[in-house]
Amino acid sequence: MPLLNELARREDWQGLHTEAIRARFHEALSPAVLAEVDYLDALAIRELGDPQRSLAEMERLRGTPGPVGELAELAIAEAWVGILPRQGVGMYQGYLSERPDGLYRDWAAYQATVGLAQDGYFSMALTQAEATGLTLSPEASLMLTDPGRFKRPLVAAALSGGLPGAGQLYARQPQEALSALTVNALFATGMILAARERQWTALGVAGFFGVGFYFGNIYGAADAAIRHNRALRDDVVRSLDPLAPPPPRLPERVPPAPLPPAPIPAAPIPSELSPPAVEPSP
Amino acid sequence: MLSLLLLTAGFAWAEPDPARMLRDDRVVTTGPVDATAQLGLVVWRELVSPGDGARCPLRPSCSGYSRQAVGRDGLIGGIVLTFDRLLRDSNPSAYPLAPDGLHFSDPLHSHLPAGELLLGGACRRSRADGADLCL
Repeated sequence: MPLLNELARREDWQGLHTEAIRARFHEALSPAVLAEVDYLDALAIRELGDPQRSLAEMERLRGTPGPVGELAELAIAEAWVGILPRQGVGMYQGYLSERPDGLYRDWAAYQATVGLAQDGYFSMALTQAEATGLTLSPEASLMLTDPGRFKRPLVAAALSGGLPGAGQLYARQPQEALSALTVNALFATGMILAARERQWTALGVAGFFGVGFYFGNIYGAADAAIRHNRALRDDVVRSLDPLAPPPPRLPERVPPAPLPPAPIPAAPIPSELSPPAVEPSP
Repeated sequence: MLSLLLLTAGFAWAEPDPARMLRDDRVVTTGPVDATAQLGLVVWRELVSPGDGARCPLRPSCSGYSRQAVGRDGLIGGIVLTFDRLLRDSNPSAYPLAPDGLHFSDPLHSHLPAGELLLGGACRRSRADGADLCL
């Protein structure tokens, strides 16, 4: 086990997987040690590119008593965060509510908070952090409680509907604002000139592109607001980084104390090896 | 106002299918109108665009993005996303570098469907779920 833990620490996943297979076949492992080997091997399998098999193995290990069961539960939650974030966060919350004496509560609380913030549920993230005793830095608290800096996509869209580029400016994208204003102004001018000159084909072409760019500009403003919000959301999540506890690991297994050397009983010397009796000289 | 109503009707017609909103950039063709648009884009990409060389700094390229957008959001939604992309490609450095190291990455899945975004559906759902903002 110390070797497997060391390989996991070094992130030598291929070595870990090979060593786990060897240990299973060549060593007489107790059920508890076998569960630890299986858990570490499942981690290696995930890192080697087979997350589904790893997840199935973690599901099997989930009911194991002790740290292996807890770690498997957290690994399942982590996998779900990548698939359906709310589902994964719910699993971390389930771990926190079902395991009041869990070994990895700090990690689960942190991950649940980050997961909620990642999805834009800032007030829920704050409540989660407070409920689990996660102490937020003043900076992180401020970022979670100040949603006023975020931009509303529909406001941006409405502004750009009124004046092309205004929504992009509202969403702090001045270069896109300039581009939208210029292109829309050019096509509007082209349409006006074509209509004045009664150039119906030119009007049709300019109209198609003009209307397209106009609605593209409206969509672009709402999209710019969303991109602005995502960038700020990333800042919020980064502000939580310093609070990250060390990632959960299996506790080091204490090797059994060596037995004291047994006293060696003095073996009787076989008669044939015993020195010949010296006959007393007459 | 009339064009806004027409656009709204177009979005209703191109109601996004949840299965197509997954993070999947494959080109999906759903009907003859979409197929014609896709064909036009293929012709553009293969015959017209090579005339002046590769000019799009973003990946997928503008015509590739357009094909994906029409496949995902229908004709009208796809057209809106295409024009939005054309407006944005003058500022490529705002996007992360693509794996090829020469272009910038702007995949379709990082943009919400036009109908979802402009009619407020995405934000309404997030807010109803307790989110403080829609992302």
